[in-house]
Amino acid sequence: MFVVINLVDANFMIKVNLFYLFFLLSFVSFAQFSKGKVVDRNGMPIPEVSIIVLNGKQSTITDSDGTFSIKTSVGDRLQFSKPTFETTTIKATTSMTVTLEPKKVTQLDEVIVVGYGTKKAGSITGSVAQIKSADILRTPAQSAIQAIQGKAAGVNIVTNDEPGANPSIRIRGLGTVLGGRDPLYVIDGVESGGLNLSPSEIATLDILKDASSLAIYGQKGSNGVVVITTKKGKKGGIKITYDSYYGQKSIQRKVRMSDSYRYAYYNNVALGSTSYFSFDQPYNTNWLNQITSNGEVTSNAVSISGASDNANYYLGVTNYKEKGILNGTQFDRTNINSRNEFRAFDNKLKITQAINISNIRNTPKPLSAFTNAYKQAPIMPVKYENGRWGVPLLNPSGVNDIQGIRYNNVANPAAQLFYSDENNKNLNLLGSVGAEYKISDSFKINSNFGANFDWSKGYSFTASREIWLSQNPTSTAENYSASSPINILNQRRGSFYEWNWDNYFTYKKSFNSHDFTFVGGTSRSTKNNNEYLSGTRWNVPEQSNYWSLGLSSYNTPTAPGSVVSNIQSTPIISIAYFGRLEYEYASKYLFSASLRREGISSFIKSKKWGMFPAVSAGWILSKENFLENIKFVNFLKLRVGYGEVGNGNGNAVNTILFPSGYNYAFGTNQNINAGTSIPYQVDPNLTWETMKEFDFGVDFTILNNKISGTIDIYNRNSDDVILPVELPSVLSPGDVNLSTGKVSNKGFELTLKWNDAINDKFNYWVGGNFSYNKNTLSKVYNSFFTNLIGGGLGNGQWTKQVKEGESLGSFYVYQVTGLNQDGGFTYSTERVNAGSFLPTYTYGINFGANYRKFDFSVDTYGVGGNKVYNGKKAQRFGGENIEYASLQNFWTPSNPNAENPTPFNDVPIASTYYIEDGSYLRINNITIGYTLPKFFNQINKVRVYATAVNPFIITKFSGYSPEISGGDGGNPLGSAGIELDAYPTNKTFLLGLNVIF
Amino acid sequence: MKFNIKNKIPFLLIALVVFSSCEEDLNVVPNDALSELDFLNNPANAIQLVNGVYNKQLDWNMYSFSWIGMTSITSDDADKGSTATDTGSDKHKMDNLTFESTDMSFNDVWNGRYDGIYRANNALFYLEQLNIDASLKNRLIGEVKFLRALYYFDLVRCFGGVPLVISKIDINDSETVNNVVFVRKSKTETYAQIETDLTDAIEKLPIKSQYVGADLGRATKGAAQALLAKAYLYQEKWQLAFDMSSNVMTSGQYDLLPNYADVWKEMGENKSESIYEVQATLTKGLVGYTDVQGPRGTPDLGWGFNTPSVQLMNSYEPGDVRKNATIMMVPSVLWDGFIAPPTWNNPRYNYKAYQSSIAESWDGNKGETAKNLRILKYSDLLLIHAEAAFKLGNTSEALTQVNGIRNRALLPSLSSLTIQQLYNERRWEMAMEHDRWFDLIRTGQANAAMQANGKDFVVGKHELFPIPSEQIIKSGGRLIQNPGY
Repeated sequence: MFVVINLVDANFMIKVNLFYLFFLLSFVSFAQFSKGKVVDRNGMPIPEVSIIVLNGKQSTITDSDGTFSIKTSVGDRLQFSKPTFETTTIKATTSMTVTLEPKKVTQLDEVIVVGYGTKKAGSITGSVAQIKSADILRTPAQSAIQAIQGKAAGVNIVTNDEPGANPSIRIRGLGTVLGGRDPLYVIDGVESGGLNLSPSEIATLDILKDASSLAIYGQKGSNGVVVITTKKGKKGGIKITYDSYYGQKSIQRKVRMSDSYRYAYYNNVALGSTSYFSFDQPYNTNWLNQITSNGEVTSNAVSISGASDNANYYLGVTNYKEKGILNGTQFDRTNINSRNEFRAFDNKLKITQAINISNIRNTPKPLSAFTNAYKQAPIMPVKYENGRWGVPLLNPSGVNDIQGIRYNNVANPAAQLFYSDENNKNLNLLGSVGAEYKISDSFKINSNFGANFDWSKGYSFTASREIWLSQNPTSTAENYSASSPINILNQRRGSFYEWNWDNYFTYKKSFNSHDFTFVGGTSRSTKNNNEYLSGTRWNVPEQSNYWSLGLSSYNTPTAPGSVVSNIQSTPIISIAYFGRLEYEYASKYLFSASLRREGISSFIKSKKWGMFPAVSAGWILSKENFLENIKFVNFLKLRVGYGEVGNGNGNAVNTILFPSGYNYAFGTNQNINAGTSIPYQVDPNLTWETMKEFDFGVDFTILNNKISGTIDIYNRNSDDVILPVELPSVLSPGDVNLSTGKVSNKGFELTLKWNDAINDKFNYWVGGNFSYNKNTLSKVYNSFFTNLIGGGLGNGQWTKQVKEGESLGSFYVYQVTGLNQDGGFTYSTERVNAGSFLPTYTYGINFGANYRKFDFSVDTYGVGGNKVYNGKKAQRFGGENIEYASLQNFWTPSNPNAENPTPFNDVPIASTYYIEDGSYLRINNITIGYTLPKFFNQINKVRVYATAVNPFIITKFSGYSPEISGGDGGNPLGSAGIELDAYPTNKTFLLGLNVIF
Repeated sequence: MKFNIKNKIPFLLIALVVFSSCEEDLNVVPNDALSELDFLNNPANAIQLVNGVYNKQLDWNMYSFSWIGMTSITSDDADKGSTATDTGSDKHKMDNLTFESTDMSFNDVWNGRYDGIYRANNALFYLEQLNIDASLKNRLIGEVKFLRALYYFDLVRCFGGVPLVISKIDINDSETVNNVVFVRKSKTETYAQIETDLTDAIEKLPIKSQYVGADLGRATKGAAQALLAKAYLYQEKWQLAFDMSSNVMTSGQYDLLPNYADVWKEMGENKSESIYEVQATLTKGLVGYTDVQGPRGTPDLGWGFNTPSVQLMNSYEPGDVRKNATIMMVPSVLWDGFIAPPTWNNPRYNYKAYQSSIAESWDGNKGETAKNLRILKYSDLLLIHAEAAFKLGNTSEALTQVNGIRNRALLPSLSSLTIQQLYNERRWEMAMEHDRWFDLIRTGQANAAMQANGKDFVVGKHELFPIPSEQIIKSGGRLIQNPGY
């Protein structure tokens, strides 16, 4: 699949394609030489041009100065070919100068990454979406994944605007509940669970979607594989680029809350009083304004690159800095990316080295501040006149005062942010070293070692006494318990190390019209190799430069579990053998089959090993005679594929464990005695989830290559889906994981692009994609699987349930059936399926144009069929604020048919009242750019642009944002799709500059 | 595929390196917890396993919010407390007897006990396999059986007959799961299991003084006997209750403390009046118990739930020291000198749950405190003995015990005793100690007491709490709901 076709760089079609040319080898028996030189349009010599004598057997390759010599006879026809140039046939003379024209490249010739190799897009038999640098950079974003939202069919990306947060990415639906949900990232050969790269360093991003493409990645591939190739240097002198932008961020949509008067009115009614809260309040606080302010984002990127005959190099440095809209949130990342390639032994040996250093500093703040700002009463001040923090206390005259009775349990959001002092730093090193050795023209071997190191450190400082004083506005420091901590400092350090080593060979053979490619090899990887150490002490000096635990004045232990905690995880090891055979006949009939056998340490004995086969075939109809005369069809290919691929991304071990920490005090001095218990039982039959998919696709370009498109229909079933079965406590207090579910994802994807140049001053393109996916937990085999609930709201209420026959991520809540005679809700007796947070369809429409020196582009993105639970609204305990809109129409005896119930102070039952339509259509990006006329010889290009990110959204949702990734990596049973402690979507207006020297 | 041997060599070398390092690597040993094999290789783990059963008692779902709501807020001794707007999820429904099977408290209490039973069953399962000293093994089995009986006693009092799971069950053995875990036994069968466990525990456990100092707090023979006596009392097996409580009284291990108010203070922990208590210390504390009941307002000592009722306050005879030892009046000066200020939200709090930040172990962590929780105390046993004696017609023995209790509370002796006087004595002696609701039900006073308190007690329904709906769902409808829910 080829979403994007602008900006093609011929150099990416690396040497691999050379091998295709050898099938024309043949012999002639003559003893005469043709000598000459091959040059390009500018007269520059072209090395490595393949020259063959047609109908003969002689062949040769031009030297680095473009010269050649070949045995032939005058009048024979010589064919000159090189992947980036048009193939030319000329009659042989004794001394020749041949000029090759650059090849007119179409998207069909683009190099697409497949597992352990590459292929031309035209001959791909699986479903792969490629996104190029220009399309990634069109949306300025912290993460490349965020930037490609809406740019590839079948790839559902849920963004999160919290500084430093990762978006969630689901490829072709969600096929698992408990296992890993994220795709595997392969970054320059390094397998990684995440992506820390700066978007500006990515050359191409290939998304492998269907099982026939993924099977060769075995148990790591079931969620899709995102192969990232970073930029590398190109021949033609040193190239220096500088890219920079600056932008301002603000909340895209706000929710209007009640003012003090309405607050008092609502809560009085709720309490059945007329005067509990006075209507005449001295304060009227807008809490959201108190905790947010405009954010800022700055990005600066510099790169230096180039290449010679035997080496190419690339060095990029990017700094990305963001000040979030939530006061005090800050994110700063510097990436250094270096990629070099060296060739030796007549180009037979190629050594590739890539390293990415990412250094992150982040000061997060509790997102519950948003919920608290939503809930906290407007009658409460941020601070009292005497400078003490506001507290929800009500004096006898019903006015918020410095003392009185507490009227709600909500924190002061401004104080909460003020006292939250957390700082995290992270250093990530991701690198690989690879060697490719060409033993012969048809046989090469590759060995690639990739590793990912990560160090993190951070602290949390809790000014306990200050916080206590902020909650007790009439107390002084002397009132504070002498035995309580004045402050608590927590210092933490973490690290992980994961690596993979792949060794494989590639053998290519061509004869007549048959092309064979065979890849075989092994892969070994270690993951989940994490260690974490944290320490906590009381009463350190207030100045942060003294924040080492040794300077604490309170070094007697408080709770052993929290003073020092050290966690070392159990690594997950996998070993795999794989092979793939590709066969093409006459470049028309394409066939590919692969097999991977893989073992993983996570499971017990016989359940460790799995076999993952795949087959796929393609038929390029446009090369058939019967279509050759139909001029409007430029290219037409049918594809069909089937594959099986595993998901082993779960717990590291499947065995009964006896963790420590179940301690108990005995004795006259109540000394701690160590204790242990078995937190959960295990099922020895647990094994990996296997995704089996059938994919049918059509790729086409029509109307003189103006319209290109791809259609895919797939049917995937994930078997042995691991479900946490919540057994009765007496069987296992903790959940037991069983391989017992089956998830079905059926879908349809369409990508279309229209590309046209009216003249050399004006060209434009319109692209769009649409994806439909139906997700169902089609079967649960274990009869004890009665319910798996999630989506807890922190107040005892839960909203989600996984049920056989329904979509994962379905909300199961009580149906509001009406209002009773007191104006309270009446509910259905059973919970009902109120829809899923997973969208059934997503779409993106992108268009752009270039006119003279101006460029213009718009990206839009939409989702539909999903529901959102308004979790912040469903948070009443008593005395909280209420939305302005809820007050407009609520039940009173005289208004019995109101939309909203009578004011109430109970914990709201999880119900359809809080379910809202989560569909939206958003303009992700509008950009207008202008390329300055050349004004200085040393500067090749200067472009300035203005971009609006997320300027508009159309949605029925009443909250801040219908796009809620939720914490915990988008856990479907977590807060995904629930607006509670969620960071609101931002709109950003920015100005940028691109310079190429 | 065809290529010459020279080409094969590097490939074969790579293959060799990779393949030889391989498949053994998949046998990864866990880094973050002991595996079963390593666990069984070390006999010292036997004690740790049993300690883990005790540890359960500290958890949130054992004796904190939900338990307090079900056993105390429901009764006429206590009100929900806290503020009008803070319902504590379902505590207002506990107070008003409008609770339903979906309320979280029931599920919490159910899960807490069955988690404890799970730990007990596991401990018994592995104790058999560990090679340790026979007498130690015996004692450990006794301790575990005591704890299991204690957990079942809570369950049978709350829910009536419950599923009896007394061994580790293979999760894949669906037949046993269906027939054992999802089938409620009768109340009689449940009590029979409690009696079996306790009888065995009595045989295996040492008396309090036989433990070394470092083991103070472990289950004793006396604890098992006292619990068995209590179980007999609940079944109205008067003679057995009388005899079993006599065993404890004649053991010479226990006595009343001179001062009633000291029983629930840190100074009273594990003293002569203590038969069994949950051991809590600063570094491994009892979760939630103090916090839930601590005074609410400024200064903030807790959530202010489970406040002693006006009815309880007014029920005491003049001069009864137990009134001011049970009910913390606001405002006042507390026993440790702490000022109970008028800025607290409620007029009364549970004094027995008060954790002093001045005179007791205190590290500022309200959520997890060093306060031991009294489960069985000698005065309770004496009253069990008195009630059994009374029912057996031995009024003079009953009167002796009641007067002993009264005198300690600085009340004059009674010259005669009615059953109501005996019940009243038990109410005052055990007020706010999570027995009142069960005592009302057990003695048939519940309806009248609740009516007097303005609560709508439904006879034939409220004698038992509902089986948590979540458990019924889990069982696929096999667990049968109690009548009326």
